[in-house]
Amino acid sequence: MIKMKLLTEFYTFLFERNDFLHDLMLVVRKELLYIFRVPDVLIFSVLIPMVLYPVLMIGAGVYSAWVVSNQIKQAYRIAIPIEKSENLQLVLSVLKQTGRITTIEVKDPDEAVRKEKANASLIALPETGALEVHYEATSAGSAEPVKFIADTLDANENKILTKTLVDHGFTKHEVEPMSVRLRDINGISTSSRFPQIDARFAETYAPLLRFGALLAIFFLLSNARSAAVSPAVFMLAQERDLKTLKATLSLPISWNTLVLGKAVAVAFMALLSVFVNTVGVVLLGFFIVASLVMRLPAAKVTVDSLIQSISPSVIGLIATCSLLDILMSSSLLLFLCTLSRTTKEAQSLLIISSLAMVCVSIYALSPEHTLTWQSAFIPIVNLLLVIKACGMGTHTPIPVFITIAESMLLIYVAVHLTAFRLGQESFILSGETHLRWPWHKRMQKMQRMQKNANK
Amino acid sequence: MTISAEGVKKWFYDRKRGEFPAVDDVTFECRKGEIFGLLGPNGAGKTTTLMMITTILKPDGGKVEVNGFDVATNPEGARMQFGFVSSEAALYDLLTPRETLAFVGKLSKCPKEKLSARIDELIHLLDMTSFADTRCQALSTGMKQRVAIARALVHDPPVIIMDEPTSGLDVPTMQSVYQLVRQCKEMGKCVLFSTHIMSEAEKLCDRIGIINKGKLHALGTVAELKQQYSKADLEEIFLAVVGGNENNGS
Repeated sequence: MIKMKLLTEFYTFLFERNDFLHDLMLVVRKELLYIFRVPDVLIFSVLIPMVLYPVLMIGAGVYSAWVVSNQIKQAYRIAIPIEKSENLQLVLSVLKQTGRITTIEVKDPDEAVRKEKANASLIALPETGALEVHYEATSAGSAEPVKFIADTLDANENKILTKTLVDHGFTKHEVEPMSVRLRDINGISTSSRFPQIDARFAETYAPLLRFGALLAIFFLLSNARSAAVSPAVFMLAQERDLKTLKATLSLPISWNTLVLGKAVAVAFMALLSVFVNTVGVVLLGFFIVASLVMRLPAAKVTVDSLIQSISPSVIGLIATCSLLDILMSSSLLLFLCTLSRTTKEAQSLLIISSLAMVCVSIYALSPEHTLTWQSAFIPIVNLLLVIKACGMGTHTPIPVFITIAESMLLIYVAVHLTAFRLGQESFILSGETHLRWPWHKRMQKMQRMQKNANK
Repeated sequence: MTISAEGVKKWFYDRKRGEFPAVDDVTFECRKGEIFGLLGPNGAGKTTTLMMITTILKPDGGKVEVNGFDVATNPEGARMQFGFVSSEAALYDLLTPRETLAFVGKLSKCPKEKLSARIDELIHLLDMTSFADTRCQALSTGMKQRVAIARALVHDPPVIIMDEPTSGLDVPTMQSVYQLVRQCKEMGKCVLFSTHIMSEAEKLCDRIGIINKGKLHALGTVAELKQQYSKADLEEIFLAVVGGNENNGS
């Protein structure tokens, strides 16, 4: 009861007694109530993405599966000891059936890896007989034990392996401990480095999935920017054309609050669109789950690897940057709207800018563009670079701080510029007067005309 | 006084004409419990003057105060003092009249408990009961205008500013608007009323200002103007002021 009372008092303090928040909430609520009744906005921001983007995401999933299956067909050179234990022989017999493994028999398999004669070494520990694969690690989670056999083979090959093991007198229970421990060759000896080529086995797919996740985030952000176009046009340019702008501007509210309220409502619509599009990502998730259930190769490893490489703080940072990006896009779109004279002009302007923002996403996604303190100063791109760096685990505090501070400043400036532009007669009386450029030297002309009138 | 305009100026830019004065040194005042009419032909500067008073446009010169609030230095304070009815009803088509009134009332910081009663009172007063919960897009022009007037009155402001509120209305609706304007006067409100219809100005307004080409040429009660220009009715006075002015201009 006391908690509820405190919460009610806090809400009252925040939204009833604080004029700015009270007005902001009112504008946001009214804009959302209004916009939810506009069929066009709902069609373009919610319904079309609901159908289109999941289809594209399924397409992306199918493509990823195709890439993965291609990678599975790559041949690996494995160095094995001349003297082979029984379980090692069994594993090799099955692996050879896949046609993706070539083996070289050497005295010291690890040495072969170091000399780059093999991609990895497969050995049985003399004490326990447990199998180990030695290779060069590429990610944080690589030293964890994985079911090498189960994860490397497909379902059919797995069946063959199980049958072979059972035929040789192993029970199903005994098949389970046949896990292989993946070990970084650098952990065994630091004498040499092994180049990052095909020997990555299961975690070959981790960067692929990480890239997929990044692609999904960028994709959703680009979509959010596009989804913001329709409400942005509606909230300013169309309001002017419907002649409601004058009445709105005469309402007892600060114009900055009015613009910010509209920007928040636009951002909310964009977020809604993102939410809807998340269905597409969830479908991609279903693809992964399905691959887990069907024991498609490497699925579990890649998911584990992805989870291990992204911490909650990184997820928080990605979420913050995404929200900032959406609010910034909404504010900028509203400002762009004020540069138009008609609704059609605003629509064209915003669609072009939205496409430009998609190009920015593609630019930021390309491998050569990374987050540095210099790139943190490039507006619009920098937030995407932070998200990308977070996904890749390469983010550093200073560029992140610069990016967030700069984005907040940009939102503040965009809101003020929009409110300023809203107050200019060339916007209010669009079609009746023309845009007055600063070089018109208005005051000088006024003085000249005043002098002439006096004469 | 409740509205005071002193030497107000506004310049516009046009590619053909360059800089030109839309409002030029206009001075007038509008008192409590008075209907002040701003009379002028189309393009005279009436709407621009009202837009400066309603803080939508910034004056390029002079000073405008609404109930003591300077529109240039304290626009937000000034906006709390008036309700504005424009020539177009300018309503959000997809909101109902009740929702529109609630939005403006809440923005004007009306107490929650009073707001609902106030909305019901206005709906009853303006005979809006039958369409109070219908979306504005389905309303007729007259109904929309009534909603626009209710919107201006919902926070019970001391000043009502009306920009040609009867344009496009049929005779019965015009009559109901006149009745409302008179009611506002009886409530002690200051009403600034712009129009280009002579009969309307003559019937309603206590004092009239005749504006043409951005300049205020005549100011006073109808009787004072008749005496000043030695004319029998307002139409003749208007023609004398505007026509004479145009002759001067040419």
